[in-house]
Amino acid sequence: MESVLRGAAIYLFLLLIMRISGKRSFAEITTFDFVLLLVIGETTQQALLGEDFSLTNAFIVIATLVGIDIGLSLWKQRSKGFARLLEGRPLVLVADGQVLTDRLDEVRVDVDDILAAGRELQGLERLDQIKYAVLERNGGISIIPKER
Amino acid sequence: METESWHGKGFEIEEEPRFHHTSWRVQRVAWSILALVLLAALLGALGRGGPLASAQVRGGPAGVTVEHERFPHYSAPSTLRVRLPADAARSGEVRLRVDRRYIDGMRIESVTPPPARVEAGADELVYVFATGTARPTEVVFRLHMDTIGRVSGAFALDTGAPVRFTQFVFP
Repeated sequence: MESVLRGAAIYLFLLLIMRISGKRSFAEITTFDFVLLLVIGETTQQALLGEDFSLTNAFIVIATLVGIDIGLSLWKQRSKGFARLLEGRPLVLVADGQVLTDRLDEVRVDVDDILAAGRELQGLERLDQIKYAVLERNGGISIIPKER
Repeated sequence: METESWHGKGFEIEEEPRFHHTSWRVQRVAWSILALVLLAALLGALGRGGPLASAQVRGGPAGVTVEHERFPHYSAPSTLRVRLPADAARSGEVRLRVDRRYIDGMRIESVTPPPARVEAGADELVYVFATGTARPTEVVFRLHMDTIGRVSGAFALDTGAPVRFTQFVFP
């Protein structure tokens, strides 16, 4: 029983804490984010298994995690509200070349991030070449260039 | 800008601005809660050291004093100190009685000084320490808690009244 409870507790706690931190923390792999992900992985490892390093325990915990994942994805499919709660919605950050600064502040994205996305995804050089920049649900930034 | 729909501009995206605003508010509340939890943990209210983490229960001048962790963590190392009064020895022995149920809820790694023997009763264990020219002033139990939730324990010298205490073991 303990295996299932541990697995469930850790999965749900991580889900919750990732949602409160603002998804940016986990989307872009900068050195900063990478270190954080690595350390969190290490921290949860022991707590997931406790002192039981048997195969059975490992299988139960993995099955619990995957089971919860499947359960949540089914629920997400049925309920748009729940999907929104779990994953959020996209957010327009730049519209018609206009930077929506208060939104940028709220999600802690700066213009540099948007320009970087422009370079990476569309090979754009300047902000005025961007028609729309959207913060997607996975934390990445997508760019729609202005028609040439 | 905030409530404007992008569909009118030919941009098929459903961002739901009200949802975003609510999320941001909830996020801020969550951050405050996180900060409070971290502060509490730093002060020792969640165990593992800190000003609030340990407690002492005194049993009067002829009784023992128990110093214990208020909030031990399940299966994490914990230390419990029992201070003995000056006149604890009787016929070359110090007899320390412990509530059996309390001991059953933990794994004891070591007892310092090691007891000469341990006598087992129905609901208590008696740790018997030999005294010679030296007299033990303190018995230190190094242990790992094996149960979760509220536990209560009691220590007593052979003839004395028990000193009771409670701990809350976090999972």
